[in-house]
Amino acid sequence: MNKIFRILIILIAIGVAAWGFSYTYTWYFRFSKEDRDLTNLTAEQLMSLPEQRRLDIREKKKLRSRIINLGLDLQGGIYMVLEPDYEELKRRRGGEELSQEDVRDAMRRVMEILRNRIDQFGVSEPSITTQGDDRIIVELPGSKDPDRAKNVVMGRGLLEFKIVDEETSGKLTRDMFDSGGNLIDTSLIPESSGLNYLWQKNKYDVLERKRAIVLYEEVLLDGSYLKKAQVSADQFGKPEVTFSLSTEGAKKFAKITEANVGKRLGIVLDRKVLYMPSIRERIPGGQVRISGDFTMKEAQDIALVLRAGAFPVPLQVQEERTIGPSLGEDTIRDGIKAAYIAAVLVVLFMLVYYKLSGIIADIALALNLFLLLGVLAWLNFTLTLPGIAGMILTVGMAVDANVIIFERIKEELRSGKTLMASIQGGYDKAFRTILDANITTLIATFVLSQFGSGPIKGFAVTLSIGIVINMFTSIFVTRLLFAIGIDTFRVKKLSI
Amino acid sequence: MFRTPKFKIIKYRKFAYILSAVIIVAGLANIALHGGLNMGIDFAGGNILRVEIQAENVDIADVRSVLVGTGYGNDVQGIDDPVRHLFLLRTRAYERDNDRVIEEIKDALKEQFGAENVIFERTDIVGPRISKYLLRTSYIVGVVALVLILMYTTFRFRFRFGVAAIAALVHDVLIVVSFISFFSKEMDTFILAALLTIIGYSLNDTIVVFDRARENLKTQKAYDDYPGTINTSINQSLSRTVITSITTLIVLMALLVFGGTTMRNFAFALIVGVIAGTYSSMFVASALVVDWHRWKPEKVKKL
Repeated sequence: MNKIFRILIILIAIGVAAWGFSYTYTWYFRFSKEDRDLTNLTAEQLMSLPEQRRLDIREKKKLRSRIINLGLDLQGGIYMVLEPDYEELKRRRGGEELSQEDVRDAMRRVMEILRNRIDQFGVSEPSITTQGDDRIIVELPGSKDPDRAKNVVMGRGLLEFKIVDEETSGKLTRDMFDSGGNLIDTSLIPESSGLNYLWQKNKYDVLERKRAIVLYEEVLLDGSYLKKAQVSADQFGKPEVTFSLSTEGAKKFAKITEANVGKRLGIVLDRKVLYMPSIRERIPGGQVRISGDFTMKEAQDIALVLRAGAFPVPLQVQEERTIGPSLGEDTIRDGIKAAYIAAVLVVLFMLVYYKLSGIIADIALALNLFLLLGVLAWLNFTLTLPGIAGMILTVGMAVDANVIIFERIKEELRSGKTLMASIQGGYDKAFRTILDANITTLIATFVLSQFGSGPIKGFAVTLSIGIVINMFTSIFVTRLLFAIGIDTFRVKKLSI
Repeated sequence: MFRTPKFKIIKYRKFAYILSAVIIVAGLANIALHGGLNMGIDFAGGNILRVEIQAENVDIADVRSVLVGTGYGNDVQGIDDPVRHLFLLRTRAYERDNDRVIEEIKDALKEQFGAENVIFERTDIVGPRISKYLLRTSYIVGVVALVLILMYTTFRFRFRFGVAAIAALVHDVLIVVSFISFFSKEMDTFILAALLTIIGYSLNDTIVVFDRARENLKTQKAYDDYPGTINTSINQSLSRTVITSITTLIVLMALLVFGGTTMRNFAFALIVGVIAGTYSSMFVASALVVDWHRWKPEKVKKL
């Protein structure tokens, strides 16, 4: 292969890598933080923006799908493994166990509900996947308020039933609120109650805030007790909503309705009061009918809300990693600092020990890292701290191949061979050694990468790719550089 | 390193055997003494809360009393930081509702120090089922890796080289684990990743020596002086081994010093492992090959 052809190959590789990496560069270094946050807006919020802005945001989202992502340990966020709460499930069903199929179906539905909730919440690149029959893995990267995100996901406090505090609600008048809709004098609300707002869907089918309601703080029932919610018609054909509760829920609800006949029950979804039906009588069987003057569509919406707030199975958190954003930033800083220092030291060392040939090795090293980033960019890789460690280790081990070659070349020179022959001999003899050595390291990292646990996998993948690319840069590229040096620059004595 | 050095490595291998044995036995004894290795929450299960408290004089005793108040134990550690008050609170894994345990601890801290003064940097919850799964997977992963490596080295060289290489790897792992025990470090998935990396690195090193040996073992004369040939092979690859070790150690030192608290254990394990790996290529793998030949001599092979 002549030199021009070889140079071309290297340039193409650089070009492709640069292309892949360009998106990442734009995302992190060209966009401001506000730009990036725009891609996290919920569907609701997007609606209030002009068409041009929305298109622009869609473009940005497309770009984001092509970058190297930051793992949870670098940008903060939540990672959760959810499994059904078998114990609680058994208790609620009175000792009855659920079949494996039922569990699997139930968890599928849980996944749907989670997806809806998280969509409404607006997190960048959320990930919800199943593992096996009964495990759900939720990843919410970049979550600025992990506690709130967790509450959304776990649904504790998402669908709530509270009693309306008629006395305090009646006292509120329009002039007590400022232009932003906030209550000026919050002391009007007693300790045991809380201020909420009634929300209703407008003509665009989006929830709009209507008026202030005061509810008693105590959560009498939450969505996890709900079993079913559907639309039906009463004896006059008017649409109404029926929902049924679990055994536990039915017992609780009977007590609640008995104690609160004549009062209104606030149905609160995600802190928004949606409906306030009146409690007419004690409801013992856990079958509840909500009737009012609503249309079929309104009834369907209510049923949807009720279903959206309830998980078909109670869940247990089996694993959770929550990382605050500040720790993430610290970690990135530390990781990059360490990588930078390591690279500089190694480059210097090679220069000092191998002199000008050291420059060749250093160029190969730089190329190695650059191509590595390019490959990771094309793979939309998620970078974690172990991933950075993998890159750092690649730097340390990348020079190994060149050391093997250079030491061989030195040996050949010492045994009296000519310049060309020594270089040739060095590369030939070293090749097999490098191949064996790298393959064995690859076996170890391959096994690690199958381990499956996110961060460790990232380490294994970065190291593996780094080593594979290393074979290319340390043999092909350096050999070319030597050839250029000798042919083009007519070097007679090797500085090695 | 201008000329090939002539160290008498093989000749003095007995000292090396003894040194290795001493360290490993001491390590195993230390582990037994402490009732096993210090398993991190990845393998033992548990909950960890990393919190920063922004207040004037916060003593670790104050934080500990808050934890004790919640009834979830008293394991509080301070994290070394020049400016901030950082603490690590740990509990064991409970059968259920571990996330509520953390919520309660968080609420108690907020109550004691004020919600605006408490920053929760990190939460780790590992339930009992997950930790058992991780532990089991780790063993499988380790065994699979060793088997694959044995197969590959036998294929490329010869069976005894493969076994000697594996022996060197097991030696390295034991040395690293011993040092982890000496310094009371925790075993978590990071350390596992470090161990697998060390296996890869040490094997790398061993193979470079074996490669030379294979090249040198081409004549009957070479076989007649088996120890000498192996010794020469070691010396010939010595300069490469030393330099690669230096560059790798440079890199690891950078990681250790600048990489932050999370990477510290990882870097430590790797540093011990790299040194052990270099040592084991010469004094364990090669030495075993020599002794094996004394026991069962090899003939000239056509490779």
